[in-house]
Amino acid sequence: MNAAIQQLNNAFSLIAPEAVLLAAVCLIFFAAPFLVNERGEAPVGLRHRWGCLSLLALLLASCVWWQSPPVTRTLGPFVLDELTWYIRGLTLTFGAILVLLHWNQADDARSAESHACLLAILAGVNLIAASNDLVGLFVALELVSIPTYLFLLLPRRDAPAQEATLKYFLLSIFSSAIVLFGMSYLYGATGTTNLSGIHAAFSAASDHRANPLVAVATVMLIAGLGFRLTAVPFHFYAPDVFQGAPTSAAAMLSFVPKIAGFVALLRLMVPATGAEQAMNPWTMTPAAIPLLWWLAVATMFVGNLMALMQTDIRRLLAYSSVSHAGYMMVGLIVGMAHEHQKADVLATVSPNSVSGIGAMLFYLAVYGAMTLGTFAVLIAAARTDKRIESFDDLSGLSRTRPAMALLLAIFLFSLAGLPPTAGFLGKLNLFFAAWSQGTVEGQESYKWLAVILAINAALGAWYYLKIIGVMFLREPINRSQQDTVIETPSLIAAGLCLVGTLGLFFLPGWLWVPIQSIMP
Amino acid sequence: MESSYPILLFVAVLVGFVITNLIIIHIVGPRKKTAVKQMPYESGMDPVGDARQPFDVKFYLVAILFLVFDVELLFLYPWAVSAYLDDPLRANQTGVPVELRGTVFAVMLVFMATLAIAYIYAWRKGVFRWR
Amino acid sequence: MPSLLVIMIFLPAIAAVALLLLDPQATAVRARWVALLATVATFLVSWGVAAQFLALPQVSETARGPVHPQLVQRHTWLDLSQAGPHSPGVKLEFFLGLDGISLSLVLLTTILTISSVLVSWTAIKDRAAQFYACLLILETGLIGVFCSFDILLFYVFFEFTLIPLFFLVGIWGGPLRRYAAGKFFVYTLAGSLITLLGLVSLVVTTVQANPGLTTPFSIPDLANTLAEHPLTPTVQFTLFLMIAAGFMVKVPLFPFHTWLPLAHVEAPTAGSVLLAGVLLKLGTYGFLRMLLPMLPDACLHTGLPLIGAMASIGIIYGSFCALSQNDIKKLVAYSSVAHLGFCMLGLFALNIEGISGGVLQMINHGLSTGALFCIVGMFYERYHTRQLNELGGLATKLPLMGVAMVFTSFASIGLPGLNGFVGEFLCLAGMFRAGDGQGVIFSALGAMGVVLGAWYLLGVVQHAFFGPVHLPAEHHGPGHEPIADLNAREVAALAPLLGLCLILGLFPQPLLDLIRPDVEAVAKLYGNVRATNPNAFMHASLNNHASQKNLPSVALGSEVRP
Repeated sequence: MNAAIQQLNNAFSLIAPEAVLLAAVCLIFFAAPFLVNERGEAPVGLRHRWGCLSLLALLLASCVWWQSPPVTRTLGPFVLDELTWYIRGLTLTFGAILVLLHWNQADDARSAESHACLLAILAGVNLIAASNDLVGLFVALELVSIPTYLFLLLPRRDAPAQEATLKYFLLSIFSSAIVLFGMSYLYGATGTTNLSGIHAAFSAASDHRANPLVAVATVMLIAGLGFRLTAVPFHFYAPDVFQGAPTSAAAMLSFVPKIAGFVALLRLMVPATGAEQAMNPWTMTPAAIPLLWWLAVATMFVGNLMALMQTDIRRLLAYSSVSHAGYMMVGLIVGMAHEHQKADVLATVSPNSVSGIGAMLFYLAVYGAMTLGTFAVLIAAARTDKRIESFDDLSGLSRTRPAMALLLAIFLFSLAGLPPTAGFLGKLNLFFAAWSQGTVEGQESYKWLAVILAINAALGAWYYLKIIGVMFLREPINRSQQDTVIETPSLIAAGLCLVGTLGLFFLPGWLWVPIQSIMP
Repeated sequence: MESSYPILLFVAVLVGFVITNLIIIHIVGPRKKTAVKQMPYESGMDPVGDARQPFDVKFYLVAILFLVFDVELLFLYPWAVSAYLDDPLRANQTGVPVELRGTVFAVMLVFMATLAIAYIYAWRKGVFRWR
Repeated sequence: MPSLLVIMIFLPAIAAVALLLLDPQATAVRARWVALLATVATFLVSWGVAAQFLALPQVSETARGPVHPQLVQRHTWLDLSQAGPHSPGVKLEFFLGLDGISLSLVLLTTILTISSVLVSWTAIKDRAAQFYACLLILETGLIGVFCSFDILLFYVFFEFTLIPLFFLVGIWGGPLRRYAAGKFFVYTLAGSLITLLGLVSLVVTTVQANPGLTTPFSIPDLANTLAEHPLTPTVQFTLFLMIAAGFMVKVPLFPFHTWLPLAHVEAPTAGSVLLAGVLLKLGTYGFLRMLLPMLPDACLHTGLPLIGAMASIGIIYGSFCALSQNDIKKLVAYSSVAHLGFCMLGLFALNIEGISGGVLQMINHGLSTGALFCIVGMFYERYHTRQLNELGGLATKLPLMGVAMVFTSFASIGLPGLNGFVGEFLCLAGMFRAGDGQGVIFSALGAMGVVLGAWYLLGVVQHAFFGPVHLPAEHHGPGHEPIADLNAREVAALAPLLGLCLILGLFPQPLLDLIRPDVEAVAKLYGNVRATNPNAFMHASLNNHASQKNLPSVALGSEVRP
């Protein structure tokens, strides 16, 4: 009893960074209406204050995060292991970049609520990483979804944004319902909602894996979380939502739900991570891996092939984010297979192979830098009256704004996986992991996964190259110098992403070493 | 699994009853359509006006606010009733353990404070203004 | 203070960044002088590195493996091991070094870049600063490929060269430049990705068979391990096909050559010079570094018939395509396909003559075809046409250019006394002795290719430069100077190339001595293979010196070095 009491008392300290973020959210929501008068007007420049407040909140949360190292896993509702620590760092860093992207996107009157929504989304992702309970996981997933609906709509409330928000809203609640349904089956099979307890039940009785309830739960959970990952066939909302939403919202959607989805899948399907744990590896059912295999293949191909046909930049970036989700799923599957194999066949795994999950987490960080950098340049290079929408808006950018064109070219080369950018290292790690796993007896399908990854990387290079070609090889259409405005926050964000993209190529160790400590 | 068979049977009977009735009505029932029978039902009187009128969003907002604060009460009731029970003679009616009472109280305060902030937000945004 | 080698690799890139940052609106005049300064400086530094290399003491044959770089710079880049203090590290490294073959290719690169800067002097006016910056970044990438001895670093520089070349062809090229740039980029990238998979697979397979190997990405260590414990023939076969895929596209070998004529024709002159002179050698260098030392069984049993066939078909096919061309630049492009066929025949002869001939042919082709593209660029700048039916008797108006063209054509054909002859002869002689008589057909076809080469090149010389005078309408008006013969700058661009053609034709031995230790080390692997039963390769080892007696001796000039 005392242990339970102590755990409950400590639970708050385990989620201290999220508490800071949510306190900031409450503060902003409390203060916002007092600064806007009844007609909906706000003092000019109010949005700068909200932006600074958000950055301050993120800074405070980062200090708290840095001071709280991983602790041993308990039976409480929250857990703070190496994975949580890493994801929190990722979210807080890229959250700061998202705040910078969003700085000028919402007008003064509505900037407060949208910044608060962004902070709430980041807190939600952190809570997913910190959750040790099915209910907590679901609440965190909803904490990510519901502010997203607001975030999509608030900056511009025109018809495309409304359409995007409505599509996202409907599909999101549908998928959340499916996730909850799957969780209920998991509870029914094991009798507890605590993830540690579920794990104990699985490792105690190995016939749980063949339980039909668990199979249904697996399929439901993958389907519901696949929506968030933009896995095929749950990706259909992505192009329309990216096209209609404001650019900073599209930037957020291209990255943050992926963290949410992958971390949720990791928590559910792969055993407790963390160096101190000597857990028996398990996956929910053996059926999860083939299902994810086919989903990854379909995601990669559909993402790349559909992107080849697009003429709108935002739809192209949506499909490209679909394909990158596919690449990361490869890492996830290889990692799951590795863990599954460790359970069945002991100690024949080569100690020199790259962990698939490590590769996926590294690619997540690299992908964040490159994709947020791309959107940052799109915001910074936009004209005062018109966003960058089609290829014509970008044509000849190297003549009118050469620095922007060069930045965007670097980010696009990174997305394509060309050296000397971090995208190349990310793909290389995935290749290495997939091929190493494929050399194990009976698992040659992972070699095919590596081959498909290579084919898709080549396909992807084509449309990224098309954008670069439009910028550098074509002449500008209807652009004059007066139309452009210097967007400082987006430029700062683009600069930070550039440092990440190039820096992670030359000095990958400082991110790779913490990732290695996540795997048992 | 075996204990859920009765529920399955119950559901099957229920659904079967409904479907059977609908089918029988469709097959056996007469089909004489008159103008009066086809009119929408409005408690015996003739319907007036178009059913598809837009209604003011203030009704919706009031309904949502009512829902939120009603659910808050729903969470407050069990806590208020059972947290401070202290009857040593009746072993199955104990409240929250003494060590946790402070924490639970603080949690409930935070809960109410969060909803109070939402209330203030709604107030300042003009939701309560009946235009 | 970084070593001269590192300075040599990164000096052009630093100059390019300085050019872009300090003076983004630089006029063409200023930009080209900066570029010339940078390339000449790199050239001088490369001679400094060469002096350092030649001053090093000789490494005896038993102390070195198949690949042995010197002047080494090694720094850990990324440790890919699993967590935990007990698992050994699998490391990616910044591993830079130089051996004889690398050095000769680096010197080729530096001198060709100077020529390409000189050739673009007046041709590039729009966005000149960016043009020269791309050229310099390309030079860094090319030198980096030749100096890297870590598989991943090699691949990084290999892929990196695509980016500046894409911009060079796409922005400053001919009418079809966007299509050509895109096709070149994606075609080469697709092949390279298969090569990457093959290399990753090679590393993984070797590490799993030899758990003690902690740096499997380093080419010397990998080659040493594979020399002692070679992989099984079936595994080698798959790996060979995968790794060779990208290099086959790059060389290019028939039938993967379709990107080459397009890219060459649409590229600006400097782009064509570097593309033909150095970039194609990346493919052959890749074969020499990645495949020959590591997968000897596959190279002998699969590579020799397959690549030999593709190369000899390429020679004949490329020559016939060149014969039918009207555009002189496209003709020279197809001749590149043919010449690199010779180079591949030499490499896959897998004996000392052949491999020496292959390396020599790489240098020779770079010099002579680089000069050919320079000359084509020079008369295109004057007449704005490259069509053979519009040109005739140019030598009457431009005698100096005529001399240069004749000289270069003979070097390219393989006239004895010029460098082409030495390279082609060694390649064909090596292929003749290759395998167990399989090579005779390939070398016969190659010899036919020599005749065809003479046919089309002398045809161009005769029709365009001699014969009845038929000059296209000269452009008059402000901006166009009257057509004049080669000026001092153009002579300066061509003279070093032609001079080296002559010198290497008369005195090839210094170059052969430079590459001999490395070529011998690779050929030794195949000497062992042929001496024992070809099917029982797995039992051969490097220490079996008894089989050395069966090697044919190099019948060229000076005595065998002890």
